[in-house]
Amino acid sequence: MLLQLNNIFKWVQQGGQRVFLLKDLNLKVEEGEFISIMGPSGSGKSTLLNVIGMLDGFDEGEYHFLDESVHTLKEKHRSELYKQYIGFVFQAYHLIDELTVYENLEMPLLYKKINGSERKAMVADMLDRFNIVGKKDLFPTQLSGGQQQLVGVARALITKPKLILADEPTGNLNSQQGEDIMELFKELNNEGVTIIQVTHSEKNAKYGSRIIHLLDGRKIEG
Amino acid sequence: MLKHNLKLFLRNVGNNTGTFFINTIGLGIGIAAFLVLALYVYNDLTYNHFNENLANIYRVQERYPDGNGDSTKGLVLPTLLGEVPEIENGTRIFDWDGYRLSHGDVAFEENVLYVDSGFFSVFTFPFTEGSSKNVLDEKFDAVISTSFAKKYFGTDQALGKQFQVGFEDIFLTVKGVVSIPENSSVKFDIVTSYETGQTISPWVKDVHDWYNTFSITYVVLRPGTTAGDIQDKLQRLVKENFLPTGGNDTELYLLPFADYHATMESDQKMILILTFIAFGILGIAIVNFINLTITNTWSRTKEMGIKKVHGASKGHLVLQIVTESLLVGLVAVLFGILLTTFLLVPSFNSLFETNLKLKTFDRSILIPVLLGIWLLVGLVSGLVPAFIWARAKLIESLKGKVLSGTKRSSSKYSSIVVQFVIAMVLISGTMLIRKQTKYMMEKDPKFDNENVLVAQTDYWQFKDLDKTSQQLARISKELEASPLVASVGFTGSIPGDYDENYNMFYPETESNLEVIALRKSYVGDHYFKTMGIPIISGQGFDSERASLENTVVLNRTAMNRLGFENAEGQILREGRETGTRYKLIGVIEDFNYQGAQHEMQPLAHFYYKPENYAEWDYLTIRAEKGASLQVLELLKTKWKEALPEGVLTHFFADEKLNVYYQEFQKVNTIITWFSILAILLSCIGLFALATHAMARRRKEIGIRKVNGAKVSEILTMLNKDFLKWVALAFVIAVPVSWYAMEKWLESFAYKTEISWWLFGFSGLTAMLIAFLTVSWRSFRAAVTNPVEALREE
Repeated sequence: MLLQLNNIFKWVQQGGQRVFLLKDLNLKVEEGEFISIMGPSGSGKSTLLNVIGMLDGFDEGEYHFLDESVHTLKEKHRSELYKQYIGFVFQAYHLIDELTVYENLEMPLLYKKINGSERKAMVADMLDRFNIVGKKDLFPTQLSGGQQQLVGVARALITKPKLILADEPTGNLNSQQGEDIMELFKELNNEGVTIIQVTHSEKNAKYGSRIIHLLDGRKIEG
Repeated sequence: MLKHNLKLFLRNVGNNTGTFFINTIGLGIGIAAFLVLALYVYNDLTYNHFNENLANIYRVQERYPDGNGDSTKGLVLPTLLGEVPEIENGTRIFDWDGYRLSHGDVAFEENVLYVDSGFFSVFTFPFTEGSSKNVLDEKFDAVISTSFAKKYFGTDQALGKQFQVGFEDIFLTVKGVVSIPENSSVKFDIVTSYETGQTISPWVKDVHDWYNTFSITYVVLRPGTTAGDIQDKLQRLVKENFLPTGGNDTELYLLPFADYHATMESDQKMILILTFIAFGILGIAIVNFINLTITNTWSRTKEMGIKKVHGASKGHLVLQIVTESLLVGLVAVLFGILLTTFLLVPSFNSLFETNLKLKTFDRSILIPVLLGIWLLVGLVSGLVPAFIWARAKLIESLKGKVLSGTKRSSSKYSSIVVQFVIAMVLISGTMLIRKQTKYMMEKDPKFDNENVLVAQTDYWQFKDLDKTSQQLARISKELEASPLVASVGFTGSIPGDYDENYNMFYPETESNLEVIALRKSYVGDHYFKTMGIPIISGQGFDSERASLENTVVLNRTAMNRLGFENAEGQILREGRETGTRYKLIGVIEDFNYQGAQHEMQPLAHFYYKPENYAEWDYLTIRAEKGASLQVLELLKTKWKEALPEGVLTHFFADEKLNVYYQEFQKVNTIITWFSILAILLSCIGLFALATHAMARRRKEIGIRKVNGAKVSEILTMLNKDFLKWVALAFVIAVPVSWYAMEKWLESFAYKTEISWWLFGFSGLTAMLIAFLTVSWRSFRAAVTNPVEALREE
């Protein structure tokens, strides 16, 4: 088991009332799974992903990640945990515009205090693997959307995470570019990386081994 | 990591060059302005500090029932040194003599000071050549200043060189050269001993008695003794020696030399104003820098979010942002130092004839101050956003959103208010100084300031004074014969050059006063007629020489003090009730013989007719109306014919008077420049806030436009938000500047009015500048396609 959510509730106060973002949510994810989360706008897909990624908290329930009980952990430990095991891919890529492709890839390694020569090797490895060696000195704005997302995925992978969380990774891409990214995910999954993605597209969802449907913060079976 | 942070910093600067430059230049200018003003104030506050004995040096002053005297009687110091054991050293300075000095072909008329042997041990001037030990012990030894040495000898060694006195067979030998600090109250070109002075000018000995008051006197008290301890002894000296013996009510007192500059020489109000301006400008610049840096960092919220997701800790982020703001701060501080050294200090020096240098600042003060400014701006503008980010929700940061509840707006706007108050006070202050200077210069001087030409006789240039006298007489006669000339006369005084020469006069006839102190001046034939000074009673010095012996002409103020109705029948006696009799023959209008900032004094003119015309300082010529330029040509021609070996120096009669107003023009220039600076800095602050506000209200502007708002309506809305703070600043600035103006005008004898338009002008100027700044910033926001603003959500 990689992670398990038990009876997760998350709400905000609005006009004196509790508005539930996540309501009594249960989820168990095994290592090596490829899960797609679907649902209409406002159903809580992204919130769920952020909770799993520990970027956002929750109000009630239990969250176990590997052997750790996330709900009892202090903020600092939580961030240690996600830094070690989770990689993020965003719809808007979230590359740093002022850094080149090479530097964007190197950035997470800097915070892991990995020494220079090792960093060089790891970045070179990634560039090679994603076939973007020729683009390493370009800035994000000089790349197409698909290329940017490729860099985004490469950056997520560079710290060798167990889990990739992708929030509508193809949302800003055209269909061909989207398909390429999905093929890439599938390949990674085959290599053993667990993937959870949020998507609107039935077609992309089908790349996953399991689909979870959300509506108004609840999981609906089907 | 550092490399990574530096790279990001440089690329961010590259992308935001505009903000970066505004920011560093703004703070740089602020620091430079602060440093220059601080330097000026520091220089003033450390006046005379180079004297090792400063704490024990006192200046002896005389105080009379009707005023203070700067000088003392010549016998005071020798008597004190002999009778008061607490006084261990002292010196007199006699500054009333001057003559032609020459070395080879180089010749000038010089002021020569006579001092006692204690001079160089009372004042510890640093010697660049020779030494202070026994330096003036031998007759005809002299010590000169470095600038004087340069004037005569260039870069050659001065030691041992000789000056010829006049055209006589007397030579002064240079035994020492001193470098006189910029901020010394005692300054000189050349000094020599009393003995030498009395040999060159025998009259000097005659004025050192218990009657004449010509000496500046300094004493050094034994450590541990205070001025109060010997006050009784000083008073006893007055009682025993001053004339009339036993009946003189002069008070002799000691003024600590450490306080001398502040009480007697410098305008402490001015120093206070400049200190306020210095800190005000620095404060504005710092607040702006912090505001602008913080505003600019918000645009990088997303970057911080991304980094956090990819493993950056709070420490990493704080380190990155603080490194950046420290770097920007460092650039600003360095720029400020460069600006100070290469632009502000030199231009300040040339404008105000000062000799300030950044290095005169004590290192131990300058470095901590600059370091403090740097750390303050760097740390505050780095730590504030860093901590806000550290607290911010990660997913919000990823969307580029800063903390939702930024309710610090009132504190931010208060910086705008403060800046604009300062700017408006400075603008209206500048206007007032301008108005007051103009008022004084345009005040009817009560003499002819249009048609009167003055030529300096500069007798010291000439070897043969008898011949010169004849030639001067010839020039005067020939000019008088010209139909273009109304009147010609020789004189010792002209407006703007009246000696500080006072004496007591006892009216023989019935009067309001038993005794009056009159400022004395000596003039020749037709002086009032030539200068165009109106005679309101009696006559001027126009009749036969014999009838003018022992006569005096008073001004209106003197007449009013004495309570005399008209000139007829009044007699004054000089010095004592049995002194020389002077018959009052005329009364003149209160004309401006000094600047209008000074109160009119009772003034007495005495008639003098020397055997030799070369004894006069000036030849004055009144041209017929409109003919002054032709007369000037005539004067030049006649001078050249009569005195071809002499250089002619000439000017119009009010020129010397205008020197009195130069100080105000300087002050005005300082304040004008710093007003411009304050306004500039205020604009930067406003610009930063406007930028921030536009970014925050982007969506609101978009929604309003989608719903039909026009660009002009958006602009009005955005401007209103800022201009109301400027309006508040105006409300505060009016009473503040009114109070400051009242205070400043207090010291003037003739004051201009504080008109409402002074405030109106400053308010409108500030308002207009604020409007332009905000509009410039908001125009872009107002014309943006609303779709772009709304798409982001």
